[in-house]
Amino acid sequence: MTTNEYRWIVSGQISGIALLGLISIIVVFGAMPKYSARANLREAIDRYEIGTDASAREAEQALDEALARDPDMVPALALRGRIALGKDNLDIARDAYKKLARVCSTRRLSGASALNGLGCVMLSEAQNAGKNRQERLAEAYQTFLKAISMDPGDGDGHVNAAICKLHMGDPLEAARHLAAGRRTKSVSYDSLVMYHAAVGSMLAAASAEGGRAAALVAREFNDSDPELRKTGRMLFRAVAEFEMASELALPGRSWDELQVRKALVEAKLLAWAPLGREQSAEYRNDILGVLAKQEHLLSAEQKRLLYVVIAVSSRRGAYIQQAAKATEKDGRTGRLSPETSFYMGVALCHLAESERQGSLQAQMRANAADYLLAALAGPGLAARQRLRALSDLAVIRWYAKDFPGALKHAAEAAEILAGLEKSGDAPDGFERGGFHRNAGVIRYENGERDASVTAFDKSIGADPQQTDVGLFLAKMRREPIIDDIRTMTVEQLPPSMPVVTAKVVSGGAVAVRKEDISVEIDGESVAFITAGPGGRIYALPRNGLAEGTHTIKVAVSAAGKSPVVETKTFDLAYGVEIMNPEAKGD
Amino acid sequence: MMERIRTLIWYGVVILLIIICYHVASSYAVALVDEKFIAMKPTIQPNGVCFLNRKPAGISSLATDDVVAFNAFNGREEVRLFARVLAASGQMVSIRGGRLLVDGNDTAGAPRGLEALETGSMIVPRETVFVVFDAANAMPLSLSKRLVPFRNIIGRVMNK
Repeated sequence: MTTNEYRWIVSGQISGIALLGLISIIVVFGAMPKYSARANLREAIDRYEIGTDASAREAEQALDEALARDPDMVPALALRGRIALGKDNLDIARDAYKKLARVCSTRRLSGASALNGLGCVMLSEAQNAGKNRQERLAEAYQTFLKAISMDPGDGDGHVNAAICKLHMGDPLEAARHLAAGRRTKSVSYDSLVMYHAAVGSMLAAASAEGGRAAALVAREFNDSDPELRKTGRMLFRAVAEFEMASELALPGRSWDELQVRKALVEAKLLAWAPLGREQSAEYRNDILGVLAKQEHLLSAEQKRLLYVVIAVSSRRGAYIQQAAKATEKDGRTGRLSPETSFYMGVALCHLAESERQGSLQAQMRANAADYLLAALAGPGLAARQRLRALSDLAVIRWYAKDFPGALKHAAEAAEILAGLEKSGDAPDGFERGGFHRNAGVIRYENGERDASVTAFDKSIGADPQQTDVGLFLAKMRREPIIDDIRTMTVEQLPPSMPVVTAKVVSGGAVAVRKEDISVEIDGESVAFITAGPGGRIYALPRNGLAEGTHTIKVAVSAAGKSPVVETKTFDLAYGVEIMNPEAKGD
Repeated sequence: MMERIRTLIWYGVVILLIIICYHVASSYAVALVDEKFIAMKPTIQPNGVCFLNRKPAGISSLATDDVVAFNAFNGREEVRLFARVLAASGQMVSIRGGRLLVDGNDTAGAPRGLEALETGSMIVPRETVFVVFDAANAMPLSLSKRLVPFRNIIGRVMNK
């Protein structure tokens, strides 16, 4: 081997060792967190996912280090924006997302995530904006649309756009975006939490708008559940969606907000839906948990509403007192939203039913009426809520013996119900049955027996399970029996004014009311009718009667049918005892 | 001349070996199972040894019924866990009445005891898998589900 060959070998060996040493240094230093921006980022993500305030601070420190090493690190900039957004540090978030957009543009990467972040910043700002809220929401929405057009396969943009539309009060468009986001099958973890929260909010909003709007939203959302078009089903599903979002969300403010939103929907279900004992207890526990732990996120009116719903649902004295205390100060309302006023009114109606003390019960009903009137006076109350409010108001007036008022509200409610039935938005059979039953009772008490029978018929038609209404209706329909029509003289009256008497008894258990009986002598109605024991009535003619034959007609108006009529004739001769050959002995 | 060629070949062989070793070390790993980990019995035995495929391509193409090892934070420290993949990224998963539905279709051979893990329809997020711990002899309530991001996954268990 020549010297030259040795030189080759030695220099090769030296170069190889130097190369391996260099690789080792890079690998070792790269693996050391202290020298790697990527390791800093990893630590930041791990800390951020723990979800505590302390871990968030550590995450930010790690991010600072990562960005100090690599100021243009895309995932670090995105995380910086996300953490800042979560803390409502909107300026920091905006700077991070703007820088992210610049870096993405320089490196020819998709800037959709940066635009989504900027849109979220604008959305947060819009929420706090006063007059320009709608304009700023529209701007944020346009930013999300740009993000979607930039990367149509990214579901995050659709989820954000849906949230924006929900803030703009358009659940239908939100449903379209959520369905589109789901179709992309590409949603980030953070957006998944927001997706489920947005679905919950959308369903709650659609449910509040009534059956027709709910059906449209369900169609656009295109869910696998065909029953989702029903408003009640929507509320139950909304609770499930909030639960899912809570399960996925990190502990912190957003998790707390999800609990609040879930509790508010559960309160609606407790106020409206027929729930089982276990489910009611579960919802009450959730609401009580929110009142205990997330009270700071609830407005005063929301707190009052939750207390009242808990009181109504649990029917426990302590809660009822708490609710009464919470509502008595602002009983005259005006400060509450129409929806909250509505629920307060409905809940107080329930509350009054369980109250045994008459004066307190009347006060609760009066408060309920105030709330319901305030709700009706305000804008934005859905037709179904108006129906319920008017129906409850009619019942309150009826309890207060204000029959004209009760009839007025019942008629207004009937008009709304007819409109809802025409548009296919009618509430379910249970609710319609209840409304018609109440209307029937009010009309019956007001003496409108035919109208009450019609209402009871509708009630049974809407909800055939109401056996009590069916029974009452059957009793009402039995024809009354008129018997033993005759005349009698009374010493204090002149002989030309004989008293007509008859026995009028009900064919069923429902007593015949005096108002339904009419007596005519020779086609002229009598002066007055007095009811005596055993169904016997006494009628006095308006004027004296001439001698000769006279005809007595006794009629009882029968519910839903022609009146029951009995006629008798008698001969009248002064100085002679009244002859009444057809009359039966008493 | 021959000697020089032989030397260069040796260098080549050594470099190739280094590359292969690096590739094997970065693609495969051996994971020891903690003695307290019983959530995947009998698929994964406590104190057992698992061979993991750590190839990124393998992780991004995880499918239903794969078993993965991943790092998770249990509130105090980072621990290594094993779980079965029920749905991959982008799939729509739900558990109803103990039935596992992936993209609306019933999944045959799903783990028993899923009744306790009822869940509504959920899209598995990007770069994430939906997993359950499915110990056959554990009480149903000991089952649990979670979403695991790819970056927390150490590898796919090869000897499941």
